[in-house]
Amino acid sequence: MTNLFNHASATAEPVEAAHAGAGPPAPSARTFLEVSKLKKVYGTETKTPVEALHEISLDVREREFVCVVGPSGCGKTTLLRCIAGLLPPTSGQIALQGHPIDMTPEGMAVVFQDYSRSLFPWMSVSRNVTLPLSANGVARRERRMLAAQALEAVGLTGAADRYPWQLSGGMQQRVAIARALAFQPKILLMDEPFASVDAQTRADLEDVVLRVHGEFSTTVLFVTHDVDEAVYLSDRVIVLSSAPTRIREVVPVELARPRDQAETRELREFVELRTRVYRGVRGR
Amino acid sequence: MRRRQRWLGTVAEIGTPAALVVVVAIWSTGTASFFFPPLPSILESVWTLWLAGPYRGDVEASALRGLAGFGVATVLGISLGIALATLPRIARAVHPVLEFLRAMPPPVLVPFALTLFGIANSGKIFIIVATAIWPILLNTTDGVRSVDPLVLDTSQVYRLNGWRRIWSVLLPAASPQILTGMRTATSITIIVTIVSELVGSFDGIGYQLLRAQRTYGMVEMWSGVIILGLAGYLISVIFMVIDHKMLSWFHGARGSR
Ligand SMILES: Nc1ncnc2c1ncn2[C@@H]1O[C@H](COP(=O)(O)OP(=O)(O)OP(=O)(O)O)[C@@H](O)[C@H]1O
Ligand SMILES: [Mg+2]
Repeated sequence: MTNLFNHASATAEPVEAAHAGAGPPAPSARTFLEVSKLKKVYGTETKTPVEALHEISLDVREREFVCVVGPSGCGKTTLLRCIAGLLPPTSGQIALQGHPIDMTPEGMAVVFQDYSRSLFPWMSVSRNVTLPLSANGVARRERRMLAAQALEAVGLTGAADRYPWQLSGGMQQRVAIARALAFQPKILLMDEPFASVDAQTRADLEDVVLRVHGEFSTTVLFVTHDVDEAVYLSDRVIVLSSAPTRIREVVPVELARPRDQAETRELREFVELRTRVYRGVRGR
Repeated sequence: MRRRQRWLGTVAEIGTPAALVVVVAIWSTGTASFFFPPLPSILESVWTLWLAGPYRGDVEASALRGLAGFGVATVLGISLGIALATLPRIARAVHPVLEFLRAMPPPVLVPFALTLFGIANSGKIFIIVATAIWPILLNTTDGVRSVDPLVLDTSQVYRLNGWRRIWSVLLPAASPQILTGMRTATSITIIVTIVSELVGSFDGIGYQLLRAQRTYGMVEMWSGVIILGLAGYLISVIFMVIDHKMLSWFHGARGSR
């Protein structure tokens, strides 16, 4: 049985063979997610309101992979939470496929930055992964299969029957990722999802997410601190400024897909893009 | 080291009460006090009088009332507690009424229940429910309100709604506090069951205790007290088992912090 989500170390054949020539479908021209003039101020009722987002407008196309980078505390998590319908904006609009967001839209999965608190400690790892599936009407057998494959993809097959609190931080983070992958979302929001794993696992997980993005035409909005990672993964890198937070720069990344950890990162284009994003983050 | 400690703990747990029994037995057999009959005869009548004798029906009647009252209090308390925690508007509306009801001392309810239900079982069960429900209700509300906000966000994102949200998220997350509330409710249940049988009643442990007191049946009284103590002990053992089975995740997660 082939794994839907792939595990880099588990696939011996070259990436080209897996993708049979053309590579994943390019982003469509249609706008999928539309954020316009989003402003978020925390504690508007209090004496010391904090402006987390000054004014953010961005469009994400269907099947696009967009990375968001920016200094710590600039409002990346805030942006993601607004888009997920978990935080009401102070002003501005967010629409998914033309429909304004109030609750979390259907077909959206989120990997939270605070991954360990987002897992349910009273359930085994595999129950954590299957619960969202049962809530969305996936049949029992398919739930099991999806969970097993998602856990395999993140390298956690052996931990399925353990409890989240019995795992290391990096393992917990991978459970949260597996839960999101098994959900097979149309749009996936990830908030620094690889922050707690080692470099090799990180590279593997990057490829798992890329593969899922390609295979399932998932639209991905991905927050990271790592400039290299942003360029490697995305179709577009959005650089946020520090407060008052605006979009400082949008860097289109037109590197060919499928990408390869060794080859892609060596391309002159890659290096140039990385420098550009890096300068953007540093504010030149 | 660990094992040795646990073994010592077990010895202490059995040894301390055993030693106490022996001391009291020797002392009470030695005295001729009317108020402290010899312990052996008390212990004997726990069996011959209460468990396998003429008062067996009373033990059963009390147990039944207690269980029924506690069961209804648990179901109602948890349901209302969840409703109050998840529907803040309703919670605010009924808050004064709840505080008023809660402030009512249990004995006040006795004449009220007598008028309403007569001397039927339902009146006694009503009093038990009306007093035992509070710790369960308040702990449930508190537990559900203090569920980690990120857990709630996660449930929202993955569309865990309605019953699934209650059953798979809110209840387990609040279960440590709910169980604490239930444990408190058990002692209240025992007390109120006995008290409710002191008035307008013709059976039950409380009724027999009152009768024994009126007829100076010291052995009966003391053995009745022991029966109640045993019931309390049994309940606490049951809760220890439940705690071990249902809350191992909770203790584990706390231990790993
Ligand atoms: N609940 C809150 N109440 C008040 N202020 C908040 C709240 N959450 C975030 N902030 C503030 O909003 C700003 C943006 O926070 P946010 O968590 O979105 O940043 P971030 O870009 O995700 O940072 P990091 O990269 O460190 O995760 C910060 O100044 C933070 O102090
Ligand atoms: Mg953040």
